[in-house]
Amino acid sequence: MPKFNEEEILRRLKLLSQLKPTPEATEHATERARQTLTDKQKRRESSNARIWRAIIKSPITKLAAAAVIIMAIGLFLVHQGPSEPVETTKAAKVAKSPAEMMTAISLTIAYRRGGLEAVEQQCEKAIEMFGPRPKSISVRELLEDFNSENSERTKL
Amino acid sequence: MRNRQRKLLELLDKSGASLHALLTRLTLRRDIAEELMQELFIKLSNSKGLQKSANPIAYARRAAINLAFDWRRSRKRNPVELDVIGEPASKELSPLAKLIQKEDLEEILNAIGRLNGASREVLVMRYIQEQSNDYIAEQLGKTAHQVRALCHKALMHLRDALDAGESLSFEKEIDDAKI
Repeated sequence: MPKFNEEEILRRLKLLSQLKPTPEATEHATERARQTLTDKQKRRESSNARIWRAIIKSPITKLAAAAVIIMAIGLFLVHQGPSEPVETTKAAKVAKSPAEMMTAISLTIAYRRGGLEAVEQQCEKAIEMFGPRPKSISVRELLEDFNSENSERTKL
Repeated sequence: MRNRQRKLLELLDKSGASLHALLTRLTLRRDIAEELMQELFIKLSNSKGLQKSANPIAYARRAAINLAFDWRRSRKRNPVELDVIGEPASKELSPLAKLIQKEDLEEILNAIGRLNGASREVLVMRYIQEQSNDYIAEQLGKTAHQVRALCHKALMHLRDALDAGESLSFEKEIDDAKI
């Protein structure tokens, strides 16, 4: 026959339920737990800060940072450098002066490269290089201009 | 991280007193209850389960119950008890009667510790914390009717555990006498 009947069990459980810690003990325990939690958080934060400080102070990190900065500057320069229009560069390589740009060979090259449109562009470029011209010009001025060009050619 | 800390402090404000009372009842030691209270909140601060839990109070209570019974299990003997709490009903009792009463309480707590998790939690909530069936049902996600059935079953298990403990201690006494 079981020794423990339900009444006895309930009596003991009732006794247990009547046990109460003093308010001071509860206050003390709660405050200690709060303090532990706060200290733990502070420790964690200071440990994170220490890790960051160690990372920042490390020579490897400095080297890596310098490498990254150099690479970034290099990439920036590569992408931001003066982009040369292909058409004009090619034209300049082929013909340096407006007169050369308008030769048959130069115009043929331009036609092969981009058809009539390229020929047209090359003509416009040559006109631009000539610069503004007066609406009327006297024969004397024309001859002087021609003579000066001829003398430059003979020098070259 | 700060959010978790804030939640824990809120939990401490809201349920700190009841958790401490629970730990005191389950350990019968004021000093141990205070230590376990600290341990409980450190565990909760490291636990991911609390964040995921839909009911942090229930989670904390379950953790407290487990912690207290783990302590009881790990304690093989208790030769010196410096900070035993005074029982309210024992003011007029003789020292011998107090000792017997303390033994009774230790015996029933050890038996509760041998029960499975669900029975143990229901018993603690219903009979040690004296919470209503409706409240327990809400906390455990069951109906009040199911809680009543669980309590009845848990009491039966407790009686079996007490009887088993009694026979075990009797066998131990016989072995000691033989030696």
